[in-house]
Amino acid sequence: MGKMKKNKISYLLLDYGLLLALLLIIVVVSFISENFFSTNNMLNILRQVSVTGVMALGVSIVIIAGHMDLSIGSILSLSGVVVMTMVNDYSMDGVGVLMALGAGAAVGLINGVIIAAITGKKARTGESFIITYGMQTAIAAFTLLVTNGVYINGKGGGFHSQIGKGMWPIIIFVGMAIVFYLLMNKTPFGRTIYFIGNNEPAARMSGVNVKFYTVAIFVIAGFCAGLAGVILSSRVNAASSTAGNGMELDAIAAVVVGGTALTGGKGGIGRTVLGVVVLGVLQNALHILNVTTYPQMIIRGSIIVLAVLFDVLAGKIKEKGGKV
Amino acid sequence: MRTAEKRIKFQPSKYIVLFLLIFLTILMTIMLDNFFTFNNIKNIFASFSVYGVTTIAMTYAIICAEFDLSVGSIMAFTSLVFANLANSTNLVTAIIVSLLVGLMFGALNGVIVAVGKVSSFVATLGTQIAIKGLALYYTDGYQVPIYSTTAYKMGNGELLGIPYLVLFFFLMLSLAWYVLKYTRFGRNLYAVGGNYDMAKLAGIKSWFYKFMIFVILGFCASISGIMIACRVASGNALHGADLTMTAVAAVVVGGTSLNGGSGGVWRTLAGLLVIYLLFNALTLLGLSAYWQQFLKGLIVIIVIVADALIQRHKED
Repeated sequence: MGKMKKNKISYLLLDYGLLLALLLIIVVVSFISENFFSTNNMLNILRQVSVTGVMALGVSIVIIAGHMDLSIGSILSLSGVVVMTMVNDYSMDGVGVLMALGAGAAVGLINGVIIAAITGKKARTGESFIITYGMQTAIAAFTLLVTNGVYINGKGGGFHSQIGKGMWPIIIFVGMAIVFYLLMNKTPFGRTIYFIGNNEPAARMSGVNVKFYTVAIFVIAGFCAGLAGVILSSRVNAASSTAGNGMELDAIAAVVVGGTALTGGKGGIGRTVLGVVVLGVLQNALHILNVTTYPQMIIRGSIIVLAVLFDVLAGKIKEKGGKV
Repeated sequence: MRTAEKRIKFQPSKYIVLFLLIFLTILMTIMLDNFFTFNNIKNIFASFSVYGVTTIAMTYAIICAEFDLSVGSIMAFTSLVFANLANSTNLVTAIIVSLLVGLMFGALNGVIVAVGKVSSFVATLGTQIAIKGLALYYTDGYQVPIYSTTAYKMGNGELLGIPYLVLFFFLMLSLAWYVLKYTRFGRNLYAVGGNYDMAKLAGIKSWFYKFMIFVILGFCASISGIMIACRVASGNALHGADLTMTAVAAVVVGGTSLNGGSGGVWRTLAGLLVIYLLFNALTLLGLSAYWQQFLKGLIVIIVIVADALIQRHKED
């Protein structure tokens, strides 16, 4: 019995080791700075992570299904530009928001249809990676062409300007997280996605319409990126064609740090929320410690690599029955 | 054995790229007055020789079924190292140290992928951000002008009307072609990329090849970094931002399959030519650089889709 318990603890460490390490950093920082643990700072962190968080929720489903979506960053820019243009030039507030969400879902639909069409009898993750990489480049360029690279400043007021204010970003993020958690854990839809991520050929053979699910996950990821774009453009009251550059990496980093395996079939929404919050807190802690943007990039990149290395290592240890 | 048969039967768009190249050249010669002039052709070659060197290395990686997103960041970082050292010491030291930096980053990627067994997409996604951060941190985001006139001459001089950079590109291309075709290293690359497990069973140290691929990529990316620094007489953390996309586009347009195990460097040259001919046409037509970017993304998607559909057709 004692051995079993010991194994359980080592499994827990293997599953959440990186998160624990990061939590340790946070505790250290909280001792250094007084206003770190204030309610205001905590709310601030949640507000900051809500944009990346909503994106990360969408992309976790894609990753659980064994795919990848690199185009979400440029979808975020596109969505911001769409909603700002609609609000400014056509004074269409609610419709503008809907159109931005639709634009995100539409790009996701294109991604999904292409990827569903080309993944033949055997699954090839590399292809969704490269297709969405191409899409990222094309959509970013499209947004630049539309705006000529110029910032669009909002006029303020109206429905759209409220979405990014006060508690709304947090409410949207938490609400989306609950919906996604239920979707992935309590519905046949979610279970099927885990099935596909674990063993696509088996899913195909047991009659799962893999193509439908492939399209669906990319539409969801696109929609989430669109929503993130609406929140961000409302929060800063501006939209730019480069707003989302590199943000897909932040979202993917959160998923990876949370411990969702990039090979598909493992992980979950709860882990992504943890990853988002931990990275957000880390960023805030680095700010408090006066670490500037560029060294933060170095740390962020290293964390992604370490997280994946840790994941591979943990998988190996588990195969050997928990012995280090 | 089935996969081996399939590979022999299926040779992705083997001649499509050549037809495309000839078609584009004829079309553009007819449509655009100033296209088929010596100066314009020279310009096309000069504009891709910098990225071309890394694109050759990317061909190796894709033959080996690997991928590197970090080459742009390595290129940016080495351009800064080169610029700083060219100003403070001499050119030889600057070149040697820059190349060593490239080798070091390449080896880092190689260890993570080959020894750590992390997928190369994700590993280089991480190092891409980290190295870019390092480059920005190094000079606080400022560009570094190079004062050496020799460096400028290296980047802009010509021999018999052909730029040094173009000559150097073809030197590298020939070397890469020779290694791929006539050495054991080259042949084993195809084996490792085609079927990792089979190559392992045949006694090939697969991890070593995966490792070497990233060392070569890092090395070539640092060469591109030195080349761009000489050409524009400055090091900049923003150099090479679109290097990965351009390299991948050129390799896949050339017809090297992303599944690994097939392809070659001459195909990559054809791919580079097709892409830069299109860019050149856009410039001559007076369209903005954003269109080039848009086209690049679109080309990659179209080629991958076409490739997959042709493959599906052959399988059925």
